[in-house]
Amino acid sequence: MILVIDTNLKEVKFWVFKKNQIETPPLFFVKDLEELKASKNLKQEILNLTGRGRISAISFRVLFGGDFFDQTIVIDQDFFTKFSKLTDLFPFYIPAMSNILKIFYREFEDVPQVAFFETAFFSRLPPAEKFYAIPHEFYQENRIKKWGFHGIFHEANSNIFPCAGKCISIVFDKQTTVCAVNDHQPFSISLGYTPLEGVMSRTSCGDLDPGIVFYLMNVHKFSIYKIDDMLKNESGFLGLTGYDLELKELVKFYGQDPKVNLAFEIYQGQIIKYIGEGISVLGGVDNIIFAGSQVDALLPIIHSLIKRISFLGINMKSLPWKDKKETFQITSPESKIKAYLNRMDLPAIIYYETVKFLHKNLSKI
Amino acid sequence: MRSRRNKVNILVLNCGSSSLKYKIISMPGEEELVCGEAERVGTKTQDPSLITHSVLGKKRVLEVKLEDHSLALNKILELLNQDALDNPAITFDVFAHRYVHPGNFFSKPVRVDNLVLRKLNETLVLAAIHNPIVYKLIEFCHRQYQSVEQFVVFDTAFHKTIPPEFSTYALDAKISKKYGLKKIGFHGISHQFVMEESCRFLNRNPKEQKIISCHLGTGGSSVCAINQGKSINNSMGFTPLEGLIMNTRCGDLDPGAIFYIMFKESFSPIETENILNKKSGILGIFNSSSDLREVVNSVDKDPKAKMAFDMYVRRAKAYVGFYALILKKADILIFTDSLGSGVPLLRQGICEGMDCLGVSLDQEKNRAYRNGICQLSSAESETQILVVPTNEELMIARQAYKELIK
Repeated sequence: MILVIDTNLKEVKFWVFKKNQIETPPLFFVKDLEELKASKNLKQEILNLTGRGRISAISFRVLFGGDFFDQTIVIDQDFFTKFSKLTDLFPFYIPAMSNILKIFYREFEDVPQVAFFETAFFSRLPPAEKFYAIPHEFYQENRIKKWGFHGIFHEANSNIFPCAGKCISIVFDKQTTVCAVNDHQPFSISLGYTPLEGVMSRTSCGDLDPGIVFYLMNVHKFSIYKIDDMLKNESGFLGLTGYDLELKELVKFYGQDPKVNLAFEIYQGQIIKYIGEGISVLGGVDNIIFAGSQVDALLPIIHSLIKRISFLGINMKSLPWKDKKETFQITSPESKIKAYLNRMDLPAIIYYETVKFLHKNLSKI
Repeated sequence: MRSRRNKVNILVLNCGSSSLKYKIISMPGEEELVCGEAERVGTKTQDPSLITHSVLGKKRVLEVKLEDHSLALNKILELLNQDALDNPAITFDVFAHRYVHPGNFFSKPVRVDNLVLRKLNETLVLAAIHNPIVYKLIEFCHRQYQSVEQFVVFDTAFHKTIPPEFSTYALDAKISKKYGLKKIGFHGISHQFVMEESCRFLNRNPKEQKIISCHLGTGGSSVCAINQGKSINNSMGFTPLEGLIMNTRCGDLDPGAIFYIMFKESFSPIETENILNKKSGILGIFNSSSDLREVVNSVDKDPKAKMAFDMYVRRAKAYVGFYALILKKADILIFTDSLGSGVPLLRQGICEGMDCLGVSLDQEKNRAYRNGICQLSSAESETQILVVPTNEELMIARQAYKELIK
C-alpha cells in the first residue's frame, strides 16, 4: 500500500491506497499535528490505522520547491539541506513542513518517501513567461518570478489524455489556476510569484493593477500590511459579495443574487483571460481539461465558460453530465476541440503518479 | 459664442511619458499647419533627444538637449514664434491638451479655468508619470498666455463604456467605492481615432464591428477591445501601469512581488513605484535602452534583447488572445503608434499562431509596409489586420473645437 500525506500545518491528512485500488475510495484519517509531534510511538499508531500490509511508499504534497526541486524526488538527507535553504522565500511554511517530513523520515526509515512539489512542473516554463518586466537584479537576487501552483494537477492532466497535444488545464480548488501545456511542457500559468496573481479566490483578489497598491499607500496612507491583508483576506468573492461562503455554496446563488452574478462574471472573465493567453501562446488548442476538488460544484460555471468559447469549435454535450468514470469527455465526438472533466482528487493523482514514479525509479531506491 | 464659420487654429499638445507631440490644426477644415514631435525627452536612450518640426510640410530636425517637458514646450513655442515672423498665418488661438488620468472628476473635454486647475491638481497622483507633466504644461500656458483659451481632452473618456464585469477589480466592494478603484483604461483618444479610420478605410460601420486595437508606443502601450463602436476592455487599468510591458513600466505584476521588494529592500512606496514606472519594462530587461526599436536591432546578438522582445510580444499576444475570445473573433485587428506601425517583427510575433482566433498575417505585405493606412492580412484571414497611423492630435482638436463652439 501507498500512504499519501497532505498537511495544512495544523493537521496531517492520510490517505491509504491499497494495490490496484480503483473502485473503492482510499482509507482516510487525520491526525492533529501537535499530537503527532508528541507521539512516542508514531509508527505503530499509524500502522494500527492503516491495517495490515506493507507500506511500499509514503508520498507527500509539498507546496513549494523553489529552484532546487524541478521534479518529484525521493527524500534523503540532501533534500533537507536544500529544502531548508528555501526558508527565506517562504519563511513560515518551509521550516514547519521540514519538521513534519523529518518526523516521517525518522520513523519510517525503511520506507521510500517521495515529495511531489506544486511548483516543480513550472521550472520548465519558457523564460519569457517565467519572469516579470522588472529590473534584472530583482529576479537574480530576490528570485522574483512565476513559481506557479497546482503543478501536480496540471502535469497529471496533461498526461491523462493520450492525444496530449495543446492543452488548457484548469484546476478549481481553493485557488483556481489556468495552465497551458504543449506536449507535456508548461507554456503559461495564471498564478505567479505569490497566490495573489491570476484568478480571484474566495478571499483574494487575483489580477490587480499594481498602480492601485501605490495609490492606496501614497495617497490614502494604507500600510503595506493593511493592503497585503486586504488583498489576501478581504477581497475576491467575499469582498465583492459580502458573503463569507465557500464557492460551492456561493454558486447556488448564481443567477439569483446580482452581487453573486457580478462576482462570477468577473471570475469567468479572469479565467477567459488566461484561456485566451494560453491559446495564443500555444498557437491553438486541442483539449481543455477541467479538474480539481471544486469541479463538481462548479459545473454551471464550467458549462458557462465553455459556452462563451464554443465558437472556437467546441461542441458541448448538454447538462447534466452524468458519468461514473473519473475522467470523461464533455464534448461530442465530432467536436473539433475536446473538453474533459477530471474528477480525480489530488491524493488519487499523487497515488497514481507515485506508482508510476516507483516503477520508473525502482532500481534507484 | 463663436460662429461656426470662423476659422480657429488650435495648438494641440500631446504629452507622452517621453515625448511631446504638437500640431497646429486649423478647424473646422482640419488643415494641419504645423506638426512636430520632441522625442526622447528626459529618457535614457542611446540617441540624443530631438525635435522634428514641420511647417506646412517643410520639415527640419533639431538636435537639442531636452531634460524635461517644460523645456521642450519652451523650445517649441520659440520655434513657433520664429515661424510666425516668417508666415503670419502660423498662429494659434487655442491650446488643447491630452490629459491622461482625470480620476472621476471629468469624463468629457473641459475648458480650463482656476477651478478646473484645482481639480486637476488633485488627480496628479493617479498617473505618476503623465499627469504631473501635463499639469505643469497646462499651468504654464494658463499663466503665460492668459488671453488664449485652453481645453483639456481626456484619454479615459472612450473607456466609460467598459462593462462592470471587466471594470471591477475583485476587491472589497466598499473599498473600491470609497476610493473609486476600477479599470479606467487609457489611450482612448487613439483607440477611438483608429477605430473610426479603419472603418472608413474598409467602408464599414463601426457600430457593426468587433475590433482589437493595439496602440504600441515608445512610451506607453495598450490593447483595447471594441464592440459596436464602444470600448469594452483595455489592458491598462486604474492607472497606466497595468497591462502590457512598456518602455520603462512593468505592466502586469503580482502585487505580492511589490510587498516582497518593499520588505526585502526596505524601499518606500514612492521608491518602489518609481522602479516599476521608470526602471522596469523594456529598460529593466534590456538595460541598454528603453526603446523596443533598439531592442529589435540587437535581437540576434544580445540574449537580453531577445528576452525583452519575447516578453513584450508574449504579453501583447496574451491580451489579443483574451480580447479575441471575449469578442468571439475580431473583424479588425489594428496596429498603431510608433512601434505598432514601425516594427514589422512585432506584428509578426503577435499574429503568429493566431489562426485559430481568425488572425492570419500576410508576411510579404507585413515586411513591405512603409506608411499610411494599409491592410496586411492574408486572403484567408477572418480578421482584417490593419496598420492605421494614429492621429491623437486631430482627435483632440476635433473634441476641443466641439467644446469651443458649444
